[in-house]
Amino acid sequence: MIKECSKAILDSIRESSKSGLLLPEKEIFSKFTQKLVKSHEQIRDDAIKAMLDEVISSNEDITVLYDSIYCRYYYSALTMTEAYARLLLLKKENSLHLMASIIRENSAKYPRPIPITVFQNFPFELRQDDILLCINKMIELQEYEDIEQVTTSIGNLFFYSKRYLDFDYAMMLAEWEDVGCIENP
Amino acid sequence: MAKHGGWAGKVLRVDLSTGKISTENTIEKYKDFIGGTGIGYKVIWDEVPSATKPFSPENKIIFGTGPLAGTGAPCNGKTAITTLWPTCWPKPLVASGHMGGHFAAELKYAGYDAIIIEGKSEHPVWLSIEDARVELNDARRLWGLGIRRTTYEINLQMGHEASVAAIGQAGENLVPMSVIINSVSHSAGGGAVMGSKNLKAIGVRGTGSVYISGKKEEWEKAIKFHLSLLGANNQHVVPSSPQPWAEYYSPGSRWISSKGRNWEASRPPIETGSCDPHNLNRIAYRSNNAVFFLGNDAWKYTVRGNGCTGCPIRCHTILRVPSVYSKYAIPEIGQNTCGGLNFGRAFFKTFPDGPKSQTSIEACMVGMHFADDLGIWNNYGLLQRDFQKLYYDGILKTKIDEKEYKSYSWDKFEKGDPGFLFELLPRIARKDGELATALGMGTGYMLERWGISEEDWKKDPALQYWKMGHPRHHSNEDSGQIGVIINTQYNRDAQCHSHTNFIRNGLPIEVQKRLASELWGSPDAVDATLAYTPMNIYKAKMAKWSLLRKELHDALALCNWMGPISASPLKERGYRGDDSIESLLYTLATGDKKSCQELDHVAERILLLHRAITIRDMGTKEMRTMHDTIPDWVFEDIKDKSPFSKGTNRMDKEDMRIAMDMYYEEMGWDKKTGAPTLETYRKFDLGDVAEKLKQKGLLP
Amino acid sequence: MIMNLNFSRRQFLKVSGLAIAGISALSSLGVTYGMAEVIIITEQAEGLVIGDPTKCVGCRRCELACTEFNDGKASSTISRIKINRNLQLGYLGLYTGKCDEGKWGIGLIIQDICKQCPHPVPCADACPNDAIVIKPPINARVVDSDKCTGCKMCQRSCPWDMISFDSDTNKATKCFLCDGKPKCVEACPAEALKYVRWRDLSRSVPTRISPTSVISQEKIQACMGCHK
Repeated sequence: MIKECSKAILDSIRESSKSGLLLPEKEIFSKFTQKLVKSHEQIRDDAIKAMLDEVISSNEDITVLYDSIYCRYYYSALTMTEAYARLLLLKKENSLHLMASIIRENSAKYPRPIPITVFQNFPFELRQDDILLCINKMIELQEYEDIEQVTTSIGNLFFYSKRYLDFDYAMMLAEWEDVGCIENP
Repeated sequence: MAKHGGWAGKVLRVDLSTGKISTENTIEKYKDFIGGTGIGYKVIWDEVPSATKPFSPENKIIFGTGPLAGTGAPCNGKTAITTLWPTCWPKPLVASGHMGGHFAAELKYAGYDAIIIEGKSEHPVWLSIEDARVELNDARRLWGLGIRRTTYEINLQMGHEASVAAIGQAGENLVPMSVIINSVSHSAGGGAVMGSKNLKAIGVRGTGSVYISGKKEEWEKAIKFHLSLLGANNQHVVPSSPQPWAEYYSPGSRWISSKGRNWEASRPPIETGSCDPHNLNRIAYRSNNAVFFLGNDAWKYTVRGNGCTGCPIRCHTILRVPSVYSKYAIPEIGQNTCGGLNFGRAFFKTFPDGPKSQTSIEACMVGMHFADDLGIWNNYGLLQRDFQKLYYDGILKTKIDEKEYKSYSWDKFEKGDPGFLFELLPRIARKDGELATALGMGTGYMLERWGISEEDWKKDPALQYWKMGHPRHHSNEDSGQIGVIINTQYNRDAQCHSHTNFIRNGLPIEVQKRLASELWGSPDAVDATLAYTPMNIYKAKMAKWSLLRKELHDALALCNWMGPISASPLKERGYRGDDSIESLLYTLATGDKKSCQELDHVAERILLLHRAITIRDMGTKEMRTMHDTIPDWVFEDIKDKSPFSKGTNRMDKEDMRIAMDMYYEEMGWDKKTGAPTLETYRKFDLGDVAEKLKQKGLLP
Repeated sequence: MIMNLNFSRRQFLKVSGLAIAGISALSSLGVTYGMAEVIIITEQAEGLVIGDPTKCVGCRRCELACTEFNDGKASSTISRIKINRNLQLGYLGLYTGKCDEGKWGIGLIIQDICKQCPHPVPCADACPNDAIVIKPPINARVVDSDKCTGCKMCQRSCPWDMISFDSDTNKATKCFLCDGKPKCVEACPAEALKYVRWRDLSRSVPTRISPTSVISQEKIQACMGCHK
């Protein structure tokens, strides 16, 4: 029974990763406590925890992530990258934090400003109004004072962090991506 | 002589003046040049004397495929068309265009690696090639028809499987800005050269085979390996939006498939979905260039992706836009990629409903409808930029008479009404009026005709005009000095994509630098976009590598719009591509074992021969000052930012002088003149070429 | 294509020259002397390849995989899956004035694929040399190249025009399902091909040509054995 249950936990983590989702620990608990109760076995949360630990230790692909209030989420590295899993975790938190993190990461790593469409498209799928609302809120908050925006010559909005890019650089990169790349196929 | 796989084995030679049709042995005569542009340059050097005019019967036009055309090697659909380029100004010089589609494969199956067309027919003819049966047919009935109708007529005679490369009215009327097209939308320049020979079309049907020399199991393994390294169009290796399988993403990537993004005009719609790079059965969904260029609205018009033989990357998008049928009475279906897709739209400065709007898509449809039927070339977008400048700077009004000026609906043009293209494009193909005639000549000759200085064009950065009548094509905006060097080398816009495919692949700069260090010896070979650093030797190496791989691809018949495989989407490989994939495929297909260094050596021979023809036909060895020139706007910045500061493409003159020095040094060319030395020619077995140049005093 | 096949076959009596009236009588008596075997395929194939035309992107990688990985050469003509002939102008094409499919039409490309016909199998029945046989365990209808004399009778008998002829070997060739792992399916970059359990699609697909097969007297007689 324990073995079957571990296998079922493993499968459900892998399955949800395959469909592009994190599996929250509490979902595992509710799902499997029900199952176990049905089978008339007295199993406490500890048993599920033990099974989860077992699943993690014996399957290299299964990884755990913590959100800001230390809730655990699971994914399988076979079908999901850590970068994407972290992004999904951010998505669960507030939009300001999500957007700022994405903007900063892009400015630092690639480096580049990113167009507003990134947040409108999969996997964020935010409405334009909501995005603009967030950006306006950020202006007022100290912790987001590095987040800036530029508008390209065809009127599209790009965001960047001034910690990593100065205005001219960000402006030219945005213009290059929005207009230059299209005109120079 | 050992039997080789890959090559069909014969080159077809058709003399239109005498009607004589003959064949040559590819291996005996052209193996040292592989195929494609290699055969093209060889024929031009050997057989077309300098001072020949593009439209003279003495000019030749060579349709060259290569050993990998028609095989399963990914992205092999190219036919290189080499001839004296009629838009090359002030003097036409050798150049080549690259036509995708299904022509190359069919030609190989018919038993030919290339076709050399020479002479001039007395009256319009078309060439039919059905395996060994090659005939010239009367084309008087076809003369005056568009490419679409011509293709139908020829397919009626040759059967459905025949691939037809035809010219439209533009080519017939000797409009230099004209193309040859096969398979609906696959074009290359040289239309008017065919027209000047009275050759309307080539229809080819092959029932034979291209043999693979190596073991079929090994070939299968190599093909699958190559496929596993592919990204999306232009070898962009990360998706445009975050995907579960991806570590990185780049909004500028052409890998735009995603959950919720569908080919909406397919019945029923098809989801492009998540395309994990390990799933080789979903490669075709990754790219949609209509959406990339025209915006998300294009999803709703997408029927499917399309493209060349053997290429899983479908860079041509088939669109169905019902409104154009009701508004303009043109077919609601259209297809193309990049320049062809943007052909109509690019004429207009604005559209009533915005830059990526319904009207802009309709303009694209109207543009494709005309350009791909009349056979008009856009000179990598310079035609449209010229047109806008001429109009908005008021130049046009001074160059054409009032009556003609009034014959165009300028209000439609200013409003962004695609109906304007009905007035302009057919007139370009017919040389109807001063404006249309001048536009069809190509930028250099148009400026000359109208007494405008080339310098004026070079000064305007918006035009992106480079030299010799042609624009930049991935220059400083695409890897600083490397792009500049590449853009100095050809006699038309440089069509090299080796560098830009790497620079725009979407990986973070740190990863790009790691890969660069493995490929070209130092992370300093590449800079982040718009954050350039001074020249170094590794950039010179990358520039040389880029050019050699372009020539190699053009000779093998691989697509340089997709290669080289300098990076891959595979995390487990550290995003490495494979620099020797060409050698793997070439060796297995032909049975002629060549390492990637040996293949690069052949590529360098081909590039060197191109240089030699250019020197011979320009009649000067002063290439550095007379040919390898850089327009002033490269050294300027709108905000006057200094070179090498962040946010500018501005290059530094002294630094570029060093860059050219380093490049010549890498190539074994004389630094003072930019002409290859005797030793260099000899190193590449082109001693005889050097001798001829020496007699004319054209060696440094 | 050279294969060493272990053929399973249903054996029938060769009853040529006998009066039809006599067949049943002789058969029921179990008279077998002086009669050679005739191959009539009655077993069904285990699977077949089906194509989704809305997904086909016209790259012909299936044709290439079919011939390169099986025959060591690239050839659209001998490919046992046929894209090229429908690619430019569609299935019905110019001759019927209905060139509304293909690249020049609405973009739809019909993949022509061997139906692995149920009994009666037209190509096998038409072969005067019994060179089209079934190959277990998949029971694909395959050409036994040792027996094929290159007479092309099978080509004329297939209503779907799915028999190819290899002029290098002078033999007919047809889809043999790559012994259950079709290379074409594996090669498709658009998931437009599937290998599925066999089902009878022969009546739902319009035929391409009017077959003009000639069935030998021996086989006709053998048919009569069951279809009395």
